[in-house]
Amino acid sequence: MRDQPVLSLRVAAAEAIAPTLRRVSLRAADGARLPPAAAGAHITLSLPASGHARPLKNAYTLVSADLEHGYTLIVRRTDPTRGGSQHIHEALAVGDVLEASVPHNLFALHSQAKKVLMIGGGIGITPLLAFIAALRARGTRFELHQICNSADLRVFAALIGAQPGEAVHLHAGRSTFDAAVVLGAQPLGTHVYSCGPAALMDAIAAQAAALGWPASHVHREDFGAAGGEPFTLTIGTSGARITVAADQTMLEALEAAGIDAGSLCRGGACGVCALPVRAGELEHRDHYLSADERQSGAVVMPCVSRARGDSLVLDI
Amino acid sequence: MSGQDIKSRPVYTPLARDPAGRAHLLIIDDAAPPAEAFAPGTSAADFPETWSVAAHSQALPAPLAGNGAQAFRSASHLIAMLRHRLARETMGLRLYAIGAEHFCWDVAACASAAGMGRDEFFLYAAGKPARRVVCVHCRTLNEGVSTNLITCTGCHARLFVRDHFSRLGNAFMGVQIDAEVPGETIEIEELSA
Amino acid sequence: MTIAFKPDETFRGDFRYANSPAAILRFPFPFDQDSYMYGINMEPHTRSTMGGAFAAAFDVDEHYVAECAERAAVLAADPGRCQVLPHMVEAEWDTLELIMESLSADYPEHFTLEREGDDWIWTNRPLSLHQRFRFGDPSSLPQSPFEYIARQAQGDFTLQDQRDGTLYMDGGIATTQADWSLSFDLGMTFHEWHGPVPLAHQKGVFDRALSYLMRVRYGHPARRLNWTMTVHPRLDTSPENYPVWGAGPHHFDGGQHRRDAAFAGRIADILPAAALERAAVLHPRLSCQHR
Repeated sequence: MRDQPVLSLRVAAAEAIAPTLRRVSLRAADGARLPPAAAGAHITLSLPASGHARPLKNAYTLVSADLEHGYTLIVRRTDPTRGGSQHIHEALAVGDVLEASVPHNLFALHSQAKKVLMIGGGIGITPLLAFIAALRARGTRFELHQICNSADLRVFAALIGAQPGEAVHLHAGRSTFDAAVVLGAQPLGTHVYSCGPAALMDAIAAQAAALGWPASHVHREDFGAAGGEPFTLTIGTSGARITVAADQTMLEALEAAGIDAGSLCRGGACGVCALPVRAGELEHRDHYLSADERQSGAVVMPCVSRARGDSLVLDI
Repeated sequence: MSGQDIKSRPVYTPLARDPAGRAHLLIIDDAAPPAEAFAPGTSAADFPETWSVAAHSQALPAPLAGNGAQAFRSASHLIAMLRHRLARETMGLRLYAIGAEHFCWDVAACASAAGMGRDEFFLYAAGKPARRVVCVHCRTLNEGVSTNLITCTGCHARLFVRDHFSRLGNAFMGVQIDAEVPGETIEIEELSA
Repeated sequence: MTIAFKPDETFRGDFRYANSPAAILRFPFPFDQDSYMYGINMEPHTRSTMGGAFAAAFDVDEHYVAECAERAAVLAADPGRCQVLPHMVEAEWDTLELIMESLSADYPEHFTLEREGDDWIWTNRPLSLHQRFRFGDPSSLPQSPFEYIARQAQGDFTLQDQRDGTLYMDGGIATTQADWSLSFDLGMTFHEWHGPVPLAHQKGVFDRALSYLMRVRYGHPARRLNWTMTVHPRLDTSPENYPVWGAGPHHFDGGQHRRDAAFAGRIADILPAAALERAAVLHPRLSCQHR
């Protein structure tokens, strides 16, 4: 794969696999081979959104990336719908061409894991599906606990396609999943990966720590909690004022106003979009900044973090 | 040439129990640990399970038993049993090793092989420096090195002992001192601990 | 761009080696100051459109054929100069794919890659190689995928595994190194591996370099012009063979032998203009970081 920051992808297939789930396969618009992507990688799609002058950028985990099918995503329709998923569910059609970033991996499997424990909540299953394929190919032992609505049980079971002898457990809701029991019985050298709602991932991290798991063996993928109270953003150098709506991230508001902050994971993990702050109280939601940097209040990750009050002044 | 300040040289801090751990196993390559191996306020009694070396062929330890004290026949016996033990352990264990530097890193190698991370084991090299030095030219392992200059037992080169340590190879690096000017040498110094 | 290769050059013994005027013109001379110190001279690998050493992803110059022969000779004497830990097998195939794609796209007159699914055919005309193999099947290649392709590229390579907040050097090939041993350093973290480099740690060079490298993104290659000077055009300045090459003239420092200069990777901190005229060779070691 040669230096090529932007890909042009054509929708090769799109199908509803459940009332709120759509599976989309993307290939290179010019028919060339796509760059390979390891399990856990994501791409950022630029999607047209009604009511927005500029396309929205959304990060999607790749469920698979292979020669036969290209890149495959599974997108859940959120409620209330935010622009990206709405477009994918209502408008995206086979043959459409989208601009995408090259794959990037912020949720890679640890090469030294003796066993991989995966805990997914809802649509958080997407990177885990890629993991399962990679772990089967490597012959690495794994255990999966997927928590979902009872309505999704059958479709998730089909996506996983458990083979005889595999430790795959589907839970209809949190009540049948006991994190203490699961985390308390793992052999030395296990790495746990959680992906799903922040509350689930927080609970896994807390339980793992309570049972003596070292931080190096506990991994999570953050989609980032996007919403919150609206606030006003002031650009320090120009004095321009931008409103960040309740269902919008600071990064999206900046982009809608024509300010390209540069971004990558859009989930508070990679550090690429960090911006200097001149004034205002911050609610840090990222997993990138150090404790000292948070304390200083001088830098913010606009892809996930917000103002704690009603205004924030950026030093840009 | 002392104080080379090379970042690969391990730095050993006196041991204390990691409060984040669920279970703790202290390993010593002798019958009893030296006091300086522990942080202030800590002693061997703070570790619920202790393995030591009796240096006796009739020692009969129970390596899978759990808490308590076990004495092994030799350091090699202990290391072999540690592999079996770690294969049966669950997450939450912390390992602590006190002893000769190469013994500590043998313990670390067992831990790594079992999938433990660097935040799950803690080492304290005790006693007089006795390094394992690999001759980078002929690969001979020179054991028990206590000075900064040695003659390689394999290729007979005069080797300078660099403070460059390989955790994977459990050895320091020895490089010929007089490759540029035959006979050139430096003052021999005792290695510091 | 057709390159006139010089297959008869040698990097030991009789040292038959010279740069053509064109090779000197395309050389990315980094010497824009009178004194030098360690720095973080990494930058995005922006392609030069004017030709020169920055035009391709992996530079191939007139010494290519001779350097590949020198690498083969070093590996024949010491196969341990190429080692990869078992968990890096996917990185081995990634390297092969990246180098084959890059060379065939940048130098179509010299290299061709034909692919039908996982059935690949690789043609390297300068080395007269024509290889059919199955991507992902190591038994279809004469060496491991990493060694196979690294034998067909100039300069040394390392494979880094990113985990635990650092990079582990878990594989590589080193036949033209400035005084570091792959077999000794294999498996080290970034900071351990660079441990013997003097002065730079205190300046925070490696902290910042590591942070930069861990953020190098797929499709956004970065480069660093890393250079050493030797009097003879010797490429194998390894610690393994230091007793062999250390006795010869090998560096410029006003005639004084400085052992620490040899240990320091000989990134020269003194370079009077006159030295350029005396230099039999200035061998650039251009390392590109890819994901």
